[in-house]
Amino acid sequence: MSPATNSNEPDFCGYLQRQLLGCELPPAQQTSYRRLLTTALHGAPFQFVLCEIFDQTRRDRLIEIIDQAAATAGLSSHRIDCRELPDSAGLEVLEALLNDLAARHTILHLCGFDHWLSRERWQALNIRRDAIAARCRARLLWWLDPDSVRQCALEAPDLWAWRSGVYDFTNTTPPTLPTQASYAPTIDPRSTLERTQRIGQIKAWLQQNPPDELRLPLLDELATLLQDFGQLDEALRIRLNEEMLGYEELGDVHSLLMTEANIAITLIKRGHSQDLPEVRRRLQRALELAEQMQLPKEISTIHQYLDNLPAPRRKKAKKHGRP
Amino acid sequence: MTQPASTNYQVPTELYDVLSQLHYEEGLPADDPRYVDTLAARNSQDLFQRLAKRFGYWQEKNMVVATQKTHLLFFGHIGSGKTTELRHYAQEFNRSGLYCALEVNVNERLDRNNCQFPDLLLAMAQSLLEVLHEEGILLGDAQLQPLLDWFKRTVETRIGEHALHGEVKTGAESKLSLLGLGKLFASATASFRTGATYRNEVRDEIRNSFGQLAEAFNDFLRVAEQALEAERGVKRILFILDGTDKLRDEDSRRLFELDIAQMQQIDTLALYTAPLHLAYDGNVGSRIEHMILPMIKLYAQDGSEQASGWEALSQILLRRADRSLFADNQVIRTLVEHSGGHPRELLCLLKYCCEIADDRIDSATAEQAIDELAAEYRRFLEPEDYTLLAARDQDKIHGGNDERGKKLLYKLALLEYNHGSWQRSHPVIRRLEGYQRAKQAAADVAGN
Repeated sequence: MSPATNSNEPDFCGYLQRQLLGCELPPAQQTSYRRLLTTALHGAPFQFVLCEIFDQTRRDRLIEIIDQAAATAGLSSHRIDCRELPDSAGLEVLEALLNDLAARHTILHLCGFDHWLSRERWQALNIRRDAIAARCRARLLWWLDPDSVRQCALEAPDLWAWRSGVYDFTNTTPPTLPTQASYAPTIDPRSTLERTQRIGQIKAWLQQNPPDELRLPLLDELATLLQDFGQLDEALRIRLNEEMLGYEELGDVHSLLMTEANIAITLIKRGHSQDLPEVRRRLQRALELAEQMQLPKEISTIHQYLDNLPAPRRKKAKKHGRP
Repeated sequence: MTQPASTNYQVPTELYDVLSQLHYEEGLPADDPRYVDTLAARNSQDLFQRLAKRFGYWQEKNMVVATQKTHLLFFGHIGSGKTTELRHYAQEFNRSGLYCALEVNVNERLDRNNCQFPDLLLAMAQSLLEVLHEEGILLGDAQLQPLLDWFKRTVETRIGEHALHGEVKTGAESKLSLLGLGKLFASATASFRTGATYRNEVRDEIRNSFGQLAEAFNDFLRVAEQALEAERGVKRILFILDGTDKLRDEDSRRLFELDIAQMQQIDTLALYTAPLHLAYDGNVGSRIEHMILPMIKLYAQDGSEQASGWEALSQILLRRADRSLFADNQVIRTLVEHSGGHPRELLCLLKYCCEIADDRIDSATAEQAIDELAAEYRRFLEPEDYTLLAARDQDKIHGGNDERGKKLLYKLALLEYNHGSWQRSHPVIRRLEGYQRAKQAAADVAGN
């Protein structure tokens, strides 16, 4: 069975991992990332894929992310940089290289070809597309600037008609910050996909250094989402190093209470027995704050958590018996 | 050949499986279970009969009426299903028992980057020799000698014996066989395909001595048809040249404008695929017989729905993706509507839906897929293109083609129906701001 066929088998962990890999991308690129990943991992063996991008650093990072995601599906990828080709290399040289690499890799990234793809070379690609499709059974991801993509449509119309899609990674505009903090509901009805997209959105907002009143609720939601996806250490880091400090500075007692309780819950989920004293300490602190604020519901919930904790291990008494 | 095997095919019930089986680059084989009969939907139920009559086949009576030669161009939009339809027609002709329909795939046999009529002739000869050999047809030396003599005189002296891999010994003592001669032609076309330096020299020689080749080739065709009739009752050989619609524009014009006269000296039945925009070129359309594979119609010119079109396109979709993958019938309808009746555009929308959807294709998914496809047209459309498209959508009749119109037809931004009697913009384009602005401008002008 080929790796590509393997990749079509349900693999939820891999799926989740791949979605999380894309979380660092700007929200405007999340849809393109997800679509590109789906076709690169699960689409037909031969594909002519156009990826629109300006910035080379972003392109390189995207390729890294895609390669990592492909690896989770057991697919091999390879990058071809135009500068590695001889200066005078024509299409036949590239074609031979593609044929050779396609025998070993499922995904081939073609980078830096904007200047190489003259009008004549686009036309030649248009004519040679059948031969390339027949011999080079790989997903060809052409990383090009928008002008080159337009040239493809104009100069290679038959090849354009075969495009597997045009994936736009040119939009790097940060999203507009919300005017007031909004909280996800207690029971999160969002799909896995929506939640991964939300992670990307929150990270993009946070990069704009919003004021604490907006930043802290976003951090809280981010930590909760990461916790849902099993990224407990990162969730803990956010709550301990960022949320706690922020709420203490603001003097927001209710949020401090919630953060203490959430830290305890995250530690419980982590399942390390050595965390138990810390869990108990955090819950006790949350309980004090709840009692201080006279919040019966919170008090009751915290008590339930405390009651369900394993009893603290008694220290063994030292034996002083005689030898 | 494209997946899947015809007998065990199951319509995919998972989006990933749908996605992995969408291959744009291959036409469907004649017996593929995903094939949907679209002729009624194209308003061309009689297309095969009309085509058959051009080649002298009277289908109702299953007989061949005399026709010495017919060279016919077959036009159609890119991705409209020409290859798939032609494979069916070839099967129909072969089923009659009266025709030997030979598919000559230009892409496989020749260099489409540089392909001219002499190359096509050699490929036709090669295909015929191979089929005769496979069928176990025996031809005498005397019947093959004229073609071999021509070959030696015109091709071999320039290519050189070594380049032909010694398939046939030179000299009068050589023992001819169909296999040997077939290999000889195969070696020549392979040399052409790999761009050998002597290619142009051989082409020039073929052009200069075309009369001799035509005579030798015509003699050979007569002999081959007689042998096929004696062995299998076959009356005529029909060459179906697929891929000639995808040549470089320069080669395409040379072939269909300049070489037509030479082409018509060959006494055979031949069908060539040709790009749609050439149908509007006076130098081509008026000088050679042609037919157009029309688009599937969703609406008649008066705006009324064409049920057969909706049904055919829905079937195309449902043979690629199980009905359970669609939230409801309205989603299927939305996708079909935005394909404009173009099968590959419909498959493109289906692909984008598979990329976008979580587990099922609902209306939000379909809308997003349509927007994505529309955005791809935005990349190359110019302001004047929108003006033309908006104007064509208001035209009751087809008022003629200019260069811009032909370019838009070629790029599928403009789709034509009823053998070109009327045209409409691709439905996804009507969502774009440029189109909306052009439409509003046209309305403002009309209002004044």
